[in-house]
Amino acid sequence: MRRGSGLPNEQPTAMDEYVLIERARSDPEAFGLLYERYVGKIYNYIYYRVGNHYDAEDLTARTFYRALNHIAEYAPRGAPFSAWLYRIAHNLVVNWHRDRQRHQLVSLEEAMLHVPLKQVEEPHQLSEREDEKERLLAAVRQLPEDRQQLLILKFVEGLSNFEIGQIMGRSEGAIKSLYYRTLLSLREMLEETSEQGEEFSDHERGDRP
Amino acid sequence: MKTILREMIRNIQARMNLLILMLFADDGEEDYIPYAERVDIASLRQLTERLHDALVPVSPRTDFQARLKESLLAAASQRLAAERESRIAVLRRRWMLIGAAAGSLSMLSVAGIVAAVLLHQRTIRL
Repeated sequence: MRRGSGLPNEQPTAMDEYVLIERARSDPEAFGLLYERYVGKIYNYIYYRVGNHYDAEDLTARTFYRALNHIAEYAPRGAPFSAWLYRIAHNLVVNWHRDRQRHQLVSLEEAMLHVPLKQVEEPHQLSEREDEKERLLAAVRQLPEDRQQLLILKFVEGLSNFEIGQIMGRSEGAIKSLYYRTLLSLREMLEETSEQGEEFSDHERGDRP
Repeated sequence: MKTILREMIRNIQARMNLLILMLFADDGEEDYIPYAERVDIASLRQLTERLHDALVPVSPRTDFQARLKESLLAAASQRLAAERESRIAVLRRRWMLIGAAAGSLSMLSVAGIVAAVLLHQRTIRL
């Protein structure tokens, strides 16, 4: 299953990619080709880590500027070029979260995700299915960084455990095990939030005459 | 104590492996699985389906992509031009140093010749 956001039918071979990277060190057009190949993937990754399009665009741009400034120092070391880009994106996302925590700013979109549905919109305005999806995404965003990365690469990009392992610098077995533990903790978090939701509903009902 | 711990770890690992395998198993392959684990797997499988539905690829805006590409290409060209410029400046400085060194050497040799001639003339006069 590959749902990736890159260009269709474009599976570059390692050699093709190596040649392109070598050219990109001194040829802006070659860097442009690398950009086109990976912009969708990096954008998706960042979007699901930050939760809004505005910051996703900003961080995507910063990722590619950083890649451009450091491409001369890039060394493959057995991992694909995308692993290097994902690492840059990951570092920028981590800094972004750190800055936000420092400034105690919460985006409206994310703030809405953490508020129970009844406080945001009436049930007829937002379908139950959408609400469930938002709760799930909010729970995913509360997972540790490596687990979020794993889920995004697996479900958004449709990568195999082996490919994810290459990007995250872990073995295939370690990815499988991390995936299993991620599912367990996600299920636990969702059970907790649904229990809280029920408590909230009971409380609401109790308040009404 | 060690043996008990080792046994516990082995059981946990076996259970984990079983669950991981079953998560990817085809339908109808679960008959041999104990009921409790089947429930566990069913809920995990349901969760993976929900994740599959929620985590769908999104596309960046086309104008954003185009603008970013344009500015990246401009930055890359600018960077290359700056690198070329600095390389030329280094070369130019190197040639200037070589020229200055050669110039001062030739000045020294001219001065040496003049001094030698003067010295020679004074010697003849004496």
